[in-house]
Amino acid sequence: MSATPRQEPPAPATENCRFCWMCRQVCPVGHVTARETLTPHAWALTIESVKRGQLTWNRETADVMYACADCGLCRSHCVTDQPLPDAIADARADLVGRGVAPEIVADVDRKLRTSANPYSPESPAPRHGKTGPVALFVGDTGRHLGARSVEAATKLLRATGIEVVPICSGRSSGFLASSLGLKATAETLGRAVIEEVEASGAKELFVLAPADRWTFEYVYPRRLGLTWPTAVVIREVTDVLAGALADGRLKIEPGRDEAPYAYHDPCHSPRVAAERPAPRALVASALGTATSRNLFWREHRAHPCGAIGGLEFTSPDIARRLAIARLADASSVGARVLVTEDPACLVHLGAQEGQGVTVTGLYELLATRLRR
Amino acid sequence: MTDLSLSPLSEDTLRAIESVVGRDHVSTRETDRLIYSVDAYWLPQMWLDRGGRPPQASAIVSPGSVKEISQLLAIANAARLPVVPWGGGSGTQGGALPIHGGLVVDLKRLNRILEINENSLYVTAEAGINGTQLEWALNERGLTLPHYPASANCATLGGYLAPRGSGTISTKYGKAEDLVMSLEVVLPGGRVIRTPSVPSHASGPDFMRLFLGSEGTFGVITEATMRITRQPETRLFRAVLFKDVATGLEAGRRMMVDRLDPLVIRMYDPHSTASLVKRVLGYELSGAYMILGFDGWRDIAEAQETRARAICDALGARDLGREPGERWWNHRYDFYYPPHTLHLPAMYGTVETVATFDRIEAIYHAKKAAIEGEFGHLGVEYIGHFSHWFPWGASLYDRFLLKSAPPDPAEAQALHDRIWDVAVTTSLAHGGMINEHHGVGLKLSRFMAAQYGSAWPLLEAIKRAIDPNGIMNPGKVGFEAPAR
Repeated sequence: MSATPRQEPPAPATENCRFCWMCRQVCPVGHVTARETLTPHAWALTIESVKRGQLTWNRETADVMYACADCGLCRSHCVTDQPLPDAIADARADLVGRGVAPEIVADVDRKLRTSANPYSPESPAPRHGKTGPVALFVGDTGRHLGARSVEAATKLLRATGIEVVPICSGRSSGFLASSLGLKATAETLGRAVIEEVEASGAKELFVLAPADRWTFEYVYPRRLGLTWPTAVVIREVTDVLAGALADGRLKIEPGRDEAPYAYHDPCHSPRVAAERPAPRALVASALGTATSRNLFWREHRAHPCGAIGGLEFTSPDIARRLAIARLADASSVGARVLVTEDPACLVHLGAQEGQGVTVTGLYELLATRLRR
Repeated sequence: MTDLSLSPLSEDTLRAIESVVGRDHVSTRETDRLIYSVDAYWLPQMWLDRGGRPPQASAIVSPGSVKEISQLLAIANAARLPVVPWGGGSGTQGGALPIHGGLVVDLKRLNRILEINENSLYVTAEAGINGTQLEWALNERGLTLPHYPASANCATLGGYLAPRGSGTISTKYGKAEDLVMSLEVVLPGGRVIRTPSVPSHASGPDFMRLFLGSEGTFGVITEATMRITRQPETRLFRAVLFKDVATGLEAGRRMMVDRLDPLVIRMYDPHSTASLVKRVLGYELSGAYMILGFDGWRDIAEAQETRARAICDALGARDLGREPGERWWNHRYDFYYPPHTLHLPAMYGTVETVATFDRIEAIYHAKKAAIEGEFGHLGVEYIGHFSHWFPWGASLYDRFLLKSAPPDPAEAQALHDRIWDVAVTTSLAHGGMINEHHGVGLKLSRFMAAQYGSAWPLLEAIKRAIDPNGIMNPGKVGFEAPAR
């Protein structure tokens, strides 16, 4: 008996996915909307039906396509790794080109082009000229949504002996634009990020959350055709801190009588790792393990909270329902505190806070427990 | 039922439906109507692939409660409007297709787990819950619903039951229908009924079973209580290779009649061993590849496995060891992901059947001879495996495959139907049932009268008594739609 390598002829993801239902269980949008039309197979079938003239691109079909969260769970769970999220991003680019994308997409595009972020009219912070071996990507969410997370992460890294050069403060990575089908804008933003990374002289770029890592490692080369500087290694801050915790460079004061908590894997987590022990070890160092509960939608099937893929702009009701589902999930396992590190997730979940669950930033939590 | 008629959806009826479920939960949008016009049946997929349009519903309705479904059916019944229940849309028989228009009623908003009882080991959940999501919730407590169909990722609890589905471990734990304890059903006029709380009693006829296999033609299953079990202490898998189907079938028969209680016996015929198993699992084998599985307390499972191995040895099987069995278990659903699974533009169909041990081998050879004999010159292939075993027989999960289907869709459909005619009539002629676990739906509807013979009028009379206006899933399970 011998094993032979698999050889399958490539076919477009939309052809493979249009009549496949095998990732239904992980689609968060399908879960909260309970609509067949808002599931991976239906997005693929919609694209293929437009190709065949059975549907046309119009406001109705555009609304369907923009309801996808671009969370990547369908692909993460696909045995044959169908790149359906990329195909959906391509279809959105087609919708943008035809002028039938939702109006909010043009509004976001305008903001990204003028101020490199969708949250504030402020332009990105000018380059400060500082250089160093390690840079921290702040981004638009770090500056406009999560300044306290950035401050806390910097403090924690400093405690481990690592000084970081903050870069791209207020500048979108380009993922949002890519996801919304704004390819040219995404490319422009991406190039600006790469220039700033190169100007920093860094050999390591730290990111606050999996979304940025996935953007630089996958979206840039695969969706945007951008080349990441090969000498620059991307690392998640949680991985760096967990390493420091393990070897004693980071000391966290454990709490007493902590409320039961759960950890929320930030949006895009499944795209970068099947399991993420680092943030779990960090949160356990502060809050203990005895009361920790994994969520129903945990780890490699991590359900996004809705701060993803531009959903908060194009389909705010679905984005809101995703956050509520996540909080309900935490509540159902007895958690009173939901901890996560992504600034966008923190803000989005925080806006729906309730059901007896409060939302806490991982870096902020650790910074308050830092043992001198 | 030809004196009755079904009606199109009027504006007044549409407004009445919206007042029940809310406007956000009723759609007449073109995209929704297209998406709900296709399930996992080859036929509508083929038509869509070639630019056609399968029949569409007038509206898609997503009720959020049993009360809403009750009111909805009352409205539809008064308006004589077809109602087609929809779960995951993953059925292969066209059972959820709105072939006569009307309403598709999507049950996925009814997705709550109502009770997990760890004392008596049952779970009660709404019918629209996703199968894998339900399983995850049970697994959190060390429990499992031992129904593991390949469709679990997409199918709903109601969809498990409506067509009497089987899962990969049905040989030990039974089919979905064997796990159900009670049901809540909404009848066509809107009445909500519950079956007795336990399935085993002597308090009158077991009318619950009427709804198992009715595929939405008798009403809408809205809730089910299912038997669950603890996750097993151990699971043991291994694989053996038989020289042919006959010896493998005999080995499986001996394991079943010797009460070895296997979790899995799955035997691929030599053709599927050489093609499907090679493509998905990567093994180059010649013969009939059989996976054996046992679970539960390790000492008991090992003892059962030892006896099973002795049976295989006595019949000349080659032991392949644990890895090929465990690999199959870990990748058992990979077979259903494109491009591994059969897919367009090919023509294909799962013509599976079930019969007693004394008949099943003859059915396999007869179907292979009939399909390859009649259609082999066109390039039609026949493959099969034996996957669900009983103390009295086994199911033959066989398929036909034509890689190059006729380009004209009408011609392709005609050929497809001819192959099905040959496959099913051959099964029936040799003592098999038309189907073991995929259900009847639209695809096999035309064979029901022949299968049931003199009993069929009784089933028709039951249908008329429950659904006098014929609104429930018309044209399915052999029940003709009332003429318009």
